[in-house]
Amino acid sequence: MISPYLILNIKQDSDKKQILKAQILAMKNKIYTLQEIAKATKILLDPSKRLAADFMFPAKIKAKRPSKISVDFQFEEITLNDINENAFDSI
Amino acid sequence: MEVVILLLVLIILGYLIYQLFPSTEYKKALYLIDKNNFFEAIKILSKIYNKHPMAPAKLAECKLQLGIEIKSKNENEAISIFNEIINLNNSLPSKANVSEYSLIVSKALYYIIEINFFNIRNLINDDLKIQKLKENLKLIENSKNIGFEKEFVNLKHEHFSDLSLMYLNFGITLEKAANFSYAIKNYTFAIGFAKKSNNLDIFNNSYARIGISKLKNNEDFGSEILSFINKSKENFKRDFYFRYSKRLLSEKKYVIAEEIINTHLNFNSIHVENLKKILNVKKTKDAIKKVKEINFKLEQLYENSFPIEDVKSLYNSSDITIDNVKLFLPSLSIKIEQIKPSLFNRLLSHFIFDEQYEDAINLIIKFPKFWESPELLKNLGMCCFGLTSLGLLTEDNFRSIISCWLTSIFSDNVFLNSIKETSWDDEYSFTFSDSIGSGCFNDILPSNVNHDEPSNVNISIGAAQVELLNQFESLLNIKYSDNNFNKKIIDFYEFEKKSIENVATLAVDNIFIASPYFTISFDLTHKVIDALDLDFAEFSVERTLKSGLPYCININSGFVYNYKQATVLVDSIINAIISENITKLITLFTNENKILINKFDTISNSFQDNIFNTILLRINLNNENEKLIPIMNECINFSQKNDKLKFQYSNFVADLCIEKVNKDIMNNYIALGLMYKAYVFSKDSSRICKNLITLIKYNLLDYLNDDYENSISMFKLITEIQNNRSDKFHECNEELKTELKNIEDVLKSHGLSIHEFIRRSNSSLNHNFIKLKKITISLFELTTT
Repeated sequence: MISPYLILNIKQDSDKKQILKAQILAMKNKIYTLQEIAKATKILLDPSKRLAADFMFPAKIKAKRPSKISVDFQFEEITLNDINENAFDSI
Repeated sequence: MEVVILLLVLIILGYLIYQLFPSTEYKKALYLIDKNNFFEAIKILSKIYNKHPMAPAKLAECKLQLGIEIKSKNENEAISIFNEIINLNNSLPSKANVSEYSLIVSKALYYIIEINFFNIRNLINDDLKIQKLKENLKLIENSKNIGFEKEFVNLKHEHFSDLSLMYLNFGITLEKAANFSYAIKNYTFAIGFAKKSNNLDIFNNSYARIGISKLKNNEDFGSEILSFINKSKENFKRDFYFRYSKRLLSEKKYVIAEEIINTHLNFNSIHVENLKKILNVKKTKDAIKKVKEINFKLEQLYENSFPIEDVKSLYNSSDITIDNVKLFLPSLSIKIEQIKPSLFNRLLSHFIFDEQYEDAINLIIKFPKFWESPELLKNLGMCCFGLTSLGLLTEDNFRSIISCWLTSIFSDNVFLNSIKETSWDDEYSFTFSDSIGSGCFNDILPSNVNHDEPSNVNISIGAAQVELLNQFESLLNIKYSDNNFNKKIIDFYEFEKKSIENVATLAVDNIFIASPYFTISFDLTHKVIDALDLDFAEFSVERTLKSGLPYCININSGFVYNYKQATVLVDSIINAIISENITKLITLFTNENKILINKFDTISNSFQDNIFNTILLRINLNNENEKLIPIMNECINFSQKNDKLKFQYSNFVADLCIEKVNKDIMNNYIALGLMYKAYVFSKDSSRICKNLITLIKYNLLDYLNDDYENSISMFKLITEIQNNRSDKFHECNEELKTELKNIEDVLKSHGLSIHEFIRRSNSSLNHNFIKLKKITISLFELTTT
């Protein structure tokens, strides 16, 4: 099942005028059959069917452009030499 | 006179001689022992030592008692008395009772060793103490211990215990002097003796000291030692685990060190905090290293336009990094988390563009709480459609794909979000009035979305949803033509769709609309069941509960759960009827189960019909199946509403009796009993009444003509019938009246009326007339109103 947007080679937000213009262009290009072009046009001119066709466009989740992560962490430097081994001496 | 005097002298002499007999002396000694007069007893027993076989043993016993009495006051004298007992052995007469004597010797020896043991304990010189303890142990080993075994064992344990404690203390002294190898040697001795004495404290503490000594001496130790350390003294444990943690940190075994610190050093201490700080320093340094790697990778991604393999690797590794840092550096984990959505979008776009729908689906369903994001749910639906359109549904994945697809399409939020994202639709408004999902009743809708009637400008969202469902259903039928697989996926699709439709159309508040398989797969069934339970609690509509049944998995309480229990119960009852398993049926027909079924009107109302139809099918299979009679009886008793079941029972039993009596395979008496049961449930049925009356007549005639076996029971049954006659029975009993009339005519020909005949004494009648009289009485009573 080919997307009607692909058959008419138009963007998701195209208006009625652009759809009809695209239909004529598609018929000239003859990449798809007349029947396919007519069906695609019909779908995109029917808002309910167009809403269904829009379902096949991926939706992006909200995302920021990834940027470098800062690494300015403060931490107390401590080594094993600072550990009193006999802290819990039991004899 | 002289004779008398002589006799007296002889008696006195005889008595004196008798007194000097050994057995008489022995008895005297026993008497004295009984009175605790051991000194006098000893004197007598010494005299008869060689003359009486028990004398040596009793003499030893007296000495033993004396020894015991004085041992607390004068140990040396007691020892010498006990030794005297042992030395008696050298002068034991041949006829002496040796076994009795040996028992006393064992005890004497025990007391000598015990006195020695207490004396050894008071010694100051440890080496001498050990030497003496070992010598004493040898004495115990060499003694026979007869009759005193338990005491000897306990004494031996005390020796071992003392030895183990001494070696433990030696070890501690050596450990203090940093002489670890000798300390360990002594601890090992201590373990050996502690084991022999069953002294677990010394045993475990010695192991702990070995562990600590080895840590102090930078030696390795076997892991088996850990189990003993956990049972040792608390301060030994702390000492050991603190040193061990430090050792592990120095060996860079951070994971084990952290586990030990958290488990065994779980108390407030600056020293333990320092260990934790070392761990945190290590983790922070690792995290910084990891972040630098991430930053480097990000730089590379920008330089190389985000190559997909690098994105994938960074996305996957970021999860591990987040897990590692979120507890001690939560701010860093948030920062790493923030780069994920962008990488996720890049990966998802790539998978969708390349039609790698399976990878895309896996990516989405691993995203935390993806079902709460309309964007992700929409992408999931889209990928499921894409995968299905490529013919990639398999036995393994079809359930997951279909359930995800349906959940996506039935989510009204997905469509609401889609409308928000596009601008072509700005000239229209959209309505949820006929949407197939939950209708977004609880959400604040954008200005161009409403719940009004659809029109040319108010576009139906429901129509778009149905359009997509139709497209998917076409795909299933076109792409999957293999009959078996097609049936499997269509059946599953229909079930899931029907289930989600049922839940969606309920318009329950705050419910999560998803297909059953979806909720089960992602452990979300409670999000459906909880909302349904709440709704039922408020409105008591049982359709709500029925809709919840496919979702009621791993749920153990609530209304939906109880409803499911009731439906399962009904199914079990139906199956027991089908398999004619009366035992099973009886176990199911409990009061508790009756209450469970009657809790729900829809179930209790349809219960009688369910049973009726099931039994009807069984009757249709075999209308002479007598096994059904007890089953039907049980069902009638259990069902609250049972009119139809009673009617069914009566007709079945009546038909069965008529059929079998006519075929002569059931006798009239059995048939009468069964027909009466049928009559009890259908007293107004003229058919049943007529058949019952006919059977009464047959039985009375049988009684008159034959040697009737069950006459007492039969007349008892007829009396019961007579007492339970219905109006319909009276209406139908012409047949009995006729019979009575016939008898009356016969009697008349003999010049008798019925009343005269009935009043006649039996002694004036022969056997046949007595029978006739009994029948006449029954007929008379049955036909009299």
